[in-house]
Amino acid sequence: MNLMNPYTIPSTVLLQCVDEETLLFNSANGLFFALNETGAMLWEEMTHATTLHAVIEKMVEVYDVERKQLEADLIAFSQTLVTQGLLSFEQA
Amino acid sequence: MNKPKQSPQKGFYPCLIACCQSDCDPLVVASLANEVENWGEFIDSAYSHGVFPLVYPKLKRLEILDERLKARMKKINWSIASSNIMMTAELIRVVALLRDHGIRSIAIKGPVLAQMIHGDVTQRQFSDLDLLVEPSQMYPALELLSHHGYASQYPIEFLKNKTLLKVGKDFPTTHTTKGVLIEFHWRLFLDRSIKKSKIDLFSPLNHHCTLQREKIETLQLDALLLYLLLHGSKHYWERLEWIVDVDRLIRLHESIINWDALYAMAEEMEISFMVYLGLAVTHELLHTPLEAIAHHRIATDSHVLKSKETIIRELNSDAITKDPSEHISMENLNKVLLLRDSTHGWVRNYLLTLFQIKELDVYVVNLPHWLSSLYYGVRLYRLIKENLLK
Repeated sequence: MNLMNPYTIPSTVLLQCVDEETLLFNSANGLFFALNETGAMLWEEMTHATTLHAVIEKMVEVYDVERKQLEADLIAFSQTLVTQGLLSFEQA
Repeated sequence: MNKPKQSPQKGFYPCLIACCQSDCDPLVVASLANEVENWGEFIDSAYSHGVFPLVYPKLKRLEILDERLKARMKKINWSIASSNIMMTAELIRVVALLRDHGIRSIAIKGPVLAQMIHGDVTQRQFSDLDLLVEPSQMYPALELLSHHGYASQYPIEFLKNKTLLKVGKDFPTTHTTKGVLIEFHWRLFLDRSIKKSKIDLFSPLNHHCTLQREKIETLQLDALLLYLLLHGSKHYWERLEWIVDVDRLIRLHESIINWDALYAMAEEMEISFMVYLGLAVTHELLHTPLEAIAHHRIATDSHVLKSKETIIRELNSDAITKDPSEHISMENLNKVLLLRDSTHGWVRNYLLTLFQIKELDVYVVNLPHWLSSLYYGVRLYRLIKENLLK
């Protein structure tokens, strides 16, 4: 996964908090996906950026995180989102 | 011998009201909760009144509730929330689809109202979506949706029937797999229910609400408030949900609601009494802030005061219609007709309710316009069949 590769969040994806849980709903398949605290934070940053590189730059600037670890976590998270149809990357 | 109507459990109703207050005090709720004897009835009532999403967060951590009850409440809350989220996604999809085909649609109540008054689509109960489109766009809109998973109880060709467009106001359609019901309205009030609608439903100044990054059009705030006041009166304010809607809309948008325009519209439509009664009920129950004219009217008009007391008493006895379809009962119809500003108004309303051609008369047979006077025969036949042949 290329960090500079632009991604898009499908218009069918909705973010909603229910009973103190953060959920993503994909109306294309009718499935809910629960985010933990870190996932919710990453998602929030991802909605304001267009590449994973931009997300990492923003997060290392604001939070006390190690870049390598953040990169690995973000890539794993993005892959899960892609599998669930909640994120798509433009072809390089 | 008829059993006397069961009185509410001690503390039942005050606790429910306390949970609906905009400035809900957790200590007050905890204290009133000690007075609730039957939590099963309380939960059912909160749901029937359409305020469960407001009640649940205030009760879910109370020690007085056992784990089984908390689990039941969590399940009900999830059921409402997940359904609301699904319907919100569908509303966004359908509005965009219509817009892409040049059809303007205006969302009423549902997710848009929930977002406007609670800032969260899951905080208000709704079971369907309501969209308003111009009468001339009704057939194109329903035809378009028929190619995108929607089916209707009646053939959409009826929407070309001028009599239906004249006497009716809405046409329901349901998504065949998602089960989402959309009521498509071409007007919000029937001629027989108000003298003449002065509300510009398709105003260029309509309000817009952001739902998940999408701007969705809804009514202007004063028109929306007037509609909510009329809708509540139509159902004799038998659900707390409708009272909460009015309360929150006023609290959040008080400074930009054009009260003079609202009163003028109500006066011309001969529904001033319904407006002041609705404001009186919300003020009494939820301490809604009111401006001077409404304050004076509800404090001095004995008819408003008496009707308000009746409504509060019926709410207190939990005499709520359990029918989720919101169909108005005959008993309530009689009460509501008496809410008209003038005797002329309610006599006219009674006669029109009986003899004016109804949507269901038209659905019996789709006649061409030149034969539309035959619908009076259909009306008479249905009146006899429904009332005399029973």
